[in-house]
Amino acid sequence: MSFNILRTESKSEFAKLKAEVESGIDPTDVFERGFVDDIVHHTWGIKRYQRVETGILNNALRKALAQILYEILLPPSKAMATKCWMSAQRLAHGWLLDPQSNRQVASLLKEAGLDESAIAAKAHTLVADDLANANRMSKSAREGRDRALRSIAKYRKSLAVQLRQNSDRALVADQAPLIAGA
Amino acid sequence: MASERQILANRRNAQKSTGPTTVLGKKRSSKNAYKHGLSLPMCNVGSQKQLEELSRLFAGDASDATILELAERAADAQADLIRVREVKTALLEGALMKTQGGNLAQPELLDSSRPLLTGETEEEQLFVNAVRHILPKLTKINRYEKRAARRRDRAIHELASIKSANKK
Repeated sequence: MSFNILRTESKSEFAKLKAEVESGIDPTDVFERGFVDDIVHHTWGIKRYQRVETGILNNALRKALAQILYEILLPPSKAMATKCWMSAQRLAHGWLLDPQSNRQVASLLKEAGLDESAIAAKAHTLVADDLANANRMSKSAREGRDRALRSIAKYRKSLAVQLRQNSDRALVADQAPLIAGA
Repeated sequence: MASERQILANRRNAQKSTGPTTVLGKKRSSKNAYKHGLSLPMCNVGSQKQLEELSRLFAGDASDATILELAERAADAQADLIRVREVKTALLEGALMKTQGGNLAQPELLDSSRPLLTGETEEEQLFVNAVRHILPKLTKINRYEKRAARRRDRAIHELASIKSANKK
């Protein structure tokens, strides 16, 4: 089966994952190889959509912080709203890059009775729909992987029954001349 | 509520709307309801050949009619599964192309030992934004993948149990 890796994804990471899964399961026939391919495909999907989930949240952090800071900086009179908005944007932009902005953000949050968890919470609310969709994709990949694992176990069980029957037949065949000779 | 005069005017106007008239327009509108084609069976000659090969592979050296039929069913479902996955990848690639103008460097070329990223670069932000927009479409397509996988697995398990019963 050809695997659907995106051009932004690492082929060597994928090859590593495939080798790990294959060596762990050691497929013996075409069906088992198919199930192994499914496991690799879905495990890669889990990684991909977890990466997307994290990315969605990370991308929303700065916007969330800017909104929180704007609410803190804006005076009750709502005067100088544009200036407050610009300051909030500047601080949010420098938050992860500039230590001074970072300290200023921390102190503003503290004054408002908040901490950095408020940023993550706000970010969650901003991208709730996207996160839910990414989560659905990653959950579906997890279910697909588990289904493939169950299928290979079920298939091996029936293969084991078949092999035992073959082995029993061989034993009976071996014993037949002895019984006849006895 | 529309007046009697408006209703009559609407009816008169509707008579003028007769749909596309040119060949090109008719051709285009014939694809209006087309979304991804995943609910249709595969029908081109190349795929039919692949299907037969896969079916032979699944059946092995068996000549039993039931086994051959199950192998065909499993191969058909496997082909559907591959098709759904290809559509998903095409959607993702298309979204990436749109967002990045097809200019994105491949991770392999940058650093082959680099693990999957988690939102720390501009490139990663673009990737996430591209995927984010097509997530609703991807979640809808998922059901076709699940359905095909279930069909294939059922056929394989039946195949295995019949093979085992035949050897008794």
